[in-house]
Amino acid sequence: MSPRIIVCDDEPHIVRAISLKFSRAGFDVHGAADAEACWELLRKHPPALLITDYTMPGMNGAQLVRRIRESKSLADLPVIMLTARGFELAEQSVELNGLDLSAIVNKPFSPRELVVKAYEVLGYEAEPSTAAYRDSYSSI
Amino acid sequence: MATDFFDLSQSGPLDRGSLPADPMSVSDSGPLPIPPAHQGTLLLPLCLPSIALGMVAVVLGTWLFKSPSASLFTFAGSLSGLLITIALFRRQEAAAIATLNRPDVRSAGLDSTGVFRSLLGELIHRVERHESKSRELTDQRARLEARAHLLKTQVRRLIHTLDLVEQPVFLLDSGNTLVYRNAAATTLLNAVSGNPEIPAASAWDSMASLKSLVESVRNRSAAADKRTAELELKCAGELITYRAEAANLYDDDGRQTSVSIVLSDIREQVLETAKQAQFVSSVSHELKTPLASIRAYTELLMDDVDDPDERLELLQFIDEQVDRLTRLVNNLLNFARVESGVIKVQREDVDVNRIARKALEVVASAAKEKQIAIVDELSDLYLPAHLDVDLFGQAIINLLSNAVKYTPKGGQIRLRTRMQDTEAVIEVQDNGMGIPVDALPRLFERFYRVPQNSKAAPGTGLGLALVKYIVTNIHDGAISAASQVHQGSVFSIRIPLGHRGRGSRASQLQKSVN
Repeated sequence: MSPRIIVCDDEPHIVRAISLKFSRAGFDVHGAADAEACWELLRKHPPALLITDYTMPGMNGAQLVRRIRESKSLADLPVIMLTARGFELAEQSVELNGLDLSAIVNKPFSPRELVVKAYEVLGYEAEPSTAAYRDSYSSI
Repeated sequence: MATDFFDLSQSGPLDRGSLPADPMSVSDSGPLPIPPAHQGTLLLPLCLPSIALGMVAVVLGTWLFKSPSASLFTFAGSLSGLLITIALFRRQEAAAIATLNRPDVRSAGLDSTGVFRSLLGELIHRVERHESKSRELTDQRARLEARAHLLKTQVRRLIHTLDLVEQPVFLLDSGNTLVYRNAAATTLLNAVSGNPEIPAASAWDSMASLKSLVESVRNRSAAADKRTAELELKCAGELITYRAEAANLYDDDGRQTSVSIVLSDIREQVLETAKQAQFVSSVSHELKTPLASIRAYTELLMDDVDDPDERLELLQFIDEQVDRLTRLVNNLLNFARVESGVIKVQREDVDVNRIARKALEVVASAAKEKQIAIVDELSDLYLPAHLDVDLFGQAIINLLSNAVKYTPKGGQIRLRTRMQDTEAVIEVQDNGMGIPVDALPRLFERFYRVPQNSKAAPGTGLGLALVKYIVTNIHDGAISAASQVHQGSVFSIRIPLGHRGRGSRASQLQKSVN
């Protein structure tokens, strides 16, 4: 059975691009347009990995992850956070502190490399063709 | 306590340059040609030796001649010599006094005083020297008093001026005792203590952050004897951020004495910095989001998508995102040009209706496409204003095109102008989707988009911010918005009526009638 992941971003293009790439890499991908919809999806069908944007109208990515960490069933869920506010990572880190994020990925990003990151986070063997990293990744 | 520091009775520092270095060094330039002092004082040398000689003669006569009569004879001789001397002296003295009493003939009188010439000269010299010194001291005293008065006045003015300064100013002496504070500082101390019963000075004692700043500036070398620190003070329950600047003060000998502290309320700067950071963050987000889509789709096209239809769809997405990015960059540049003054503001005397009519023409085709009716409710009056035609036109166009964007097909937009008191009012009203009440306060913020409406039309969140900038910052006007969800919105611009060129407002109105 293919591992299930949820992608949450208010930009439908981003959700679509990630979904396309991850589907081809053998994942079962579900998209959410905002944090509330994402939370509902998470509770119904807990995934193996969550990829969420930071800046979203309403609940933002950090608030979503905090809610996840405070829940019983999802507390250990690996999360990769996307952000287009690269300049304020230090400032954000206060807010991101204690969220136990697996990775922060700066936009614009390469879907190919995001798949590699997901493999790594989930402890899978990476495909040889996707082993290269770019500087848009910053592990924490 | 506050004024003690400036009390001049406690020997204030005077400007030494204006005073003689030694007050006793008074010049000797008197009206008379006075002989040197060691040549005078002849009274004692004349009288005393006469008496002494007489005494010696009696003793000597008695011892030599063993005859009291001979010695008595000698004594009588001496005594008559003495009497003659005294008589001579009295005569000369009388002449001298007479001469002294006639200052106009002092020089001539002096010549005729004979043996007492030196004595009198010396006397006159001394009297005149003392007179001169006395005059000099009186003058000096008057000068010092005038100077002290001037200094007191200046200090009073300085204290008054310092009290007008909004920044709290403190002055500490070498023992770190608070010796002066201005009115703002007293107000601050009262706010910090929070209790009018507690003396302000004791509030100072509780301000540990300021005290440690004072300590650190005292330990500084002369080359860097200023220190600045940001600190938060709780004033009347509110936490206020201050920038404190402490500086060492030195006396004439270069000894470190007092420390001055000036506080500045930097709440607004802190807020402005946060706003700037927010702006940069927003720009970053707005620019990177379409870039992220473009990059992701480009990679998918290269790696994964072979189906021609799907490829075309992805290319269309990319095209959309490029459009979005272009629009954003253009708007940002527009804003930057206006805000930085690259676009020169050229205000002229115009009729507001003329600009409004032009703006209507610009949006007419977009409205027609959506079958939206535009109702022209422009005032029949000439509405004189002093405006930059292009920029103000842009503001009205932005409002109108927003109305077209957020009004469904078949809707209606009204553009109204009118005169109200001393202002021209321009209103853009639509019956579109409206704006939730909680979004209204943020409507004119840069990059803010109403979450509920943002999907209805592409936008950058810069249009209304630019309108506000043009209206308020460039044209001294005001803008407001009122709305009801599903009912529509009204945006109102108000600008001062009147031309700046020749003629008054009345004549302009007259002109409009003609």
